[in-house]
Amino acid sequence: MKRGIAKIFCIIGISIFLHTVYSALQHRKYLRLTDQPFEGVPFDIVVECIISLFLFAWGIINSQFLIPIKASTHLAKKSFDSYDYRPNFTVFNHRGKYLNEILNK
Amino acid sequence: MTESPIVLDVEIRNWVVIPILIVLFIVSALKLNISKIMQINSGKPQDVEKTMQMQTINRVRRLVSFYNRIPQRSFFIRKSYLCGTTGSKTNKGILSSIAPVQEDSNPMNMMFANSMFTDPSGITDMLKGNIMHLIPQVTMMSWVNHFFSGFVACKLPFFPLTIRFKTFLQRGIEMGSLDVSYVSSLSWYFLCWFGSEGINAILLGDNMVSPDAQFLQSTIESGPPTQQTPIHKIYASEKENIEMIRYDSIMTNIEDRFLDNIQKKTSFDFNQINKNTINNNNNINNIKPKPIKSNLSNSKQSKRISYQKPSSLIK
Amino acid sequence: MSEMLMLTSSDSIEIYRYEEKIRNSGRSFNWVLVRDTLRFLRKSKIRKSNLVSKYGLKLVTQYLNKLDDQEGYDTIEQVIIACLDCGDETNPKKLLEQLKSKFGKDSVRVQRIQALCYESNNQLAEALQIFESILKKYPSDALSMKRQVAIFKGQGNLNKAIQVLNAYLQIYMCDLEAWLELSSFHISYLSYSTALYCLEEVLLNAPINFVFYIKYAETLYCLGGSENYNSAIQYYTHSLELNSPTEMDKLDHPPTFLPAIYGIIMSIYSMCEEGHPLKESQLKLMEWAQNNLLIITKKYSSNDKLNLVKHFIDSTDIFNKD
Repeated sequence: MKRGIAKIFCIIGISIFLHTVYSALQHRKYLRLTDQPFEGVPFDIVVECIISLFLFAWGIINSQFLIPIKASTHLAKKSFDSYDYRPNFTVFNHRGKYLNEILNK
Repeated sequence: MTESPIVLDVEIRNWVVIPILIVLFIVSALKLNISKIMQINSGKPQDVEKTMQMQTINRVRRLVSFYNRIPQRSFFIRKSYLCGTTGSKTNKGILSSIAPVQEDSNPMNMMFANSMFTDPSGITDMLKGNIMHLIPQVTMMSWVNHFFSGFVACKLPFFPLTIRFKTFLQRGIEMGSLDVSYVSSLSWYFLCWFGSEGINAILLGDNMVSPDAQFLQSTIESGPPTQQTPIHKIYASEKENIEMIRYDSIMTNIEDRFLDNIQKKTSFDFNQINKNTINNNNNINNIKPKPIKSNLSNSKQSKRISYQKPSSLIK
Repeated sequence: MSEMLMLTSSDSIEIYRYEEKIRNSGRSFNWVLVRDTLRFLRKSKIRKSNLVSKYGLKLVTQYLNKLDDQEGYDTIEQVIIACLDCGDETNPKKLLEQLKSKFGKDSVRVQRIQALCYESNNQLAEALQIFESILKKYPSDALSMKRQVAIFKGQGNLNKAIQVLNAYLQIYMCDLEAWLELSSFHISYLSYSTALYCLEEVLLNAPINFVFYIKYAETLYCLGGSENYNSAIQYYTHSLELNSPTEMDKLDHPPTFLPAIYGIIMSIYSMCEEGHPLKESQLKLMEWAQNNLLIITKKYSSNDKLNLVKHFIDSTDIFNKD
């Protein structure tokens, strides 16, 4: 549920950002047509841009699973005896044959 | 300010813009295939010696960075194996085992000595790769420049770009007043070349690494990368690194550190334990001179001896 | 079954879930699920030969065209090895023929699988010959060297295996798996001090993996002597630092540091038995370990196990002993 909302926020953030780009371009075009010098972007566009940044940042963080940054948390997931199975050194003369027969019954 | 737009001939689109795109695509497909053939034929030579040297360097670097994880004695064992024991003539250590090659004053000769004679295949591989990239590029560029220079090939849509892009987008056209969104044919070629790499990877993805080549590649480690600095120099610097280490262990006082951490981070009630240990303080005194049951320690001793026996046997 | 889940960690839980799903899908064969399971197994290196040979075989015989090329052949290799592990000899041969017709007899990987088939068929001489011929062609082919070691190990000829493995480690001295294998050989000879050397090498190669610190500490404990007990405690504690119990409540799987806690209790107890004076921090550590062990057992297991653990703590108690 939260993830869905976050995704919607992402989309809204991007679209607001695109809108700011468009309005900035429009502003420059207007200035050029009216022969005024360009002195920075108007305040409302800046505010809109910042809002879009925060929306998008919040959305992107919450829209997916984050993996813990510590490597040890991943290693902690490995079971202890998985280190005793070394596939490159496996040997085939063991009870696997008989176990398999029992398991497949 | 606004100029009347330049009308571009439809023929330019049909005979310049689209052909360049297509030719680029075909050339990159060809390039991929040829490089694949060359790769299979070259059959990477493998050198046990080289692998060993690379692994040694790797191991030494690990030792230098993680030496504090192992006990002091083990560290010194490794040190004497790698660097040799001081004062002894017989054990020089494997890091000094490689004699420096006769050094030449001429840097060109040195380069040859290091790359050419020790590993001639490295240079041919390099040459092959360079040829593979250079030849098609040079021919394509001269082709475009020769046939399609001197006119505007297309116009970029959307919004106008700043004047800085002019040199990038209008190579081959020296005209100050031209709007930046017009692109010359040579620049169009560059644009396509840079842009098409990703698309080619998707389109030619299946052919790019044929399963057979992969089948071979994933099993046999490719030879160590050709390297510029001679191996004995790396060895010497690594040896210096090891000798600079002043051993200390992260295991000293680890119990205190760990318990401090626990106390900080969890709600684990240490006061209670402290009380316990204070209560047990006399217990501590008790524990120290604890009467040793003689038979028990005896059995332990004998057990230990029997444990150590086989190791001496095997050696 | 739930008991088993309690004891193992999340990787195994995940594979257990996969297995459950596959078995529950009944008649209909869900090839996507099987493919994902096999993929997961390849990645996590868990040994589930029965599962792989049963369902993977169906996957590669009937649904091979649905897998993409590269993965398909990887899967075939995986299935062949699993089948050999289960003592099946007919199916791997068929699959091997398939690989041979695709890649030719000269492909090193195919040759290696052929040798594996020989091995499981107990034709060790043929297998060894294949590996030797590969090594003649590619003298630094690590896998073939390792398989030679495995063959000697299978014969029970540990001395020879150690010899070959030593030669291998002369070249590939950063191979963690091989060092572990060598340490296990030495442990089976009870030459713990040599095994310690190998495990130190493992530690240098994987300095953040808590498991190897526990292994190292266990070997130290086996060697015995108060000095070694002392350093065993230190290594157990370090493994606890890496796999920290402070974040236990946040875990989605049972904690994996229990071996370290048991190890700490046993080492401190043994040290005490030796009559060696204990530091105060070690006493505290003991106290903490006992408490934590009880807490974890209460949280994750049944009552009779709790009694067992209580009994264990009582029998190794150093505080209230006369």
